[in-house]
Amino acid sequence: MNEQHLKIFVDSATYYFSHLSDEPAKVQVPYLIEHNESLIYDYTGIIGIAGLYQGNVYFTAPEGMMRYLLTTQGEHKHTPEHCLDIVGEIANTLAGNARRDLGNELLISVPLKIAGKPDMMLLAKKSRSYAIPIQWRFYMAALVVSVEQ
Amino acid sequence: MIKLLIVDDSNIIRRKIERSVNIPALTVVGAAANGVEAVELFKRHKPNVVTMDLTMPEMDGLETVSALLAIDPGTHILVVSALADKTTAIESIRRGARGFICKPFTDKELNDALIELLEVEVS
Repeated sequence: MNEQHLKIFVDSATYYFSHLSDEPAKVQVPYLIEHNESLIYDYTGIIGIAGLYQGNVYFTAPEGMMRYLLTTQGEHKHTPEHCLDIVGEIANTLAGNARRDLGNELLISVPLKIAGKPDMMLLAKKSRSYAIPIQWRFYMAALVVSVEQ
Repeated sequence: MIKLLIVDDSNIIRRKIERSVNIPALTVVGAAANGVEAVELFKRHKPNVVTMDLTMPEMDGLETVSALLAIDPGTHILVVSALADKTTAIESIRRGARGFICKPFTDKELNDALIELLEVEVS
C-alpha cells in the first residue's frame, strides 16, 4: 500500500460524506497502526479484499454517528440492526468506490458487520495497516485499510 | 402502472429507494435482499423496472441481471452499486442492464436515472 493507494481511500471517504449530507467530513491525516492495536468504535463493517490486492478494509463508528446518518437517510428506526446495516453499507460503499481508481481487480466481499469489540484480530497480518480518522459533525470514526498488492 | 422491484442486500437502502422514488407512474411491488429472492419476486410480480445492487450474498447482481432477463428480456434494469469502476458498469450493460448509478446516490440522481430509463421505453 503506497501513498497513492491511501489517497484513493481518503478521497472515497471524503466523497461519501459530502455527497450524502450538507456537511462534509473532515478526513484527517492517516497513520500507521500496529497489528496488536485495535481501533474499534461501537459498530464496524468489514470488507474482505481479494484478487490483485489482499487484505481487508473496515469502517468503524460510534453509535451516535450511525443514528445521525440513519436520520439523514430518512430512516427513523435506529435499532442495533439498523446501525449494523448502515455501517456495513458504508464499508461496502467506501471499498467499492475505491475501484473507480484501483479497477475491478480489487475484489470486495459482502460486508461482515459487528457490534462492539470483535474477538478476532481485524488487521491483515501480512500488510501494513493505516487508520484514516474521519470527523463528521460531532463524531469521530475511522476507515482502516489493511491491504497489500 | 409501471411496476418496480427493488433488489439490495441492505434494508436501509431498499427503504431509501422506496422513499426516494417520486415518479407517479411507478409503483413499488416488492423488495428483495438477494438474487434468489429477486427471481422469486420477479416471477410473482412481473415488474417492468428493477433496481439492482451488485454485491449481494447468495446470488450476486450480475448473475441476477442475466437470470431476470432470461425470464423477460424486456425488463428495464437499473444497476445501483458501490462498485464504481468502468469495467463493472460496462459488464452490467453487456449483460442487459439499461442504466447504472453509483452509491452513494441522491434522491435526484435516482429519479433522473429512472426517468431516463422510462423515457427510453416510451420513445
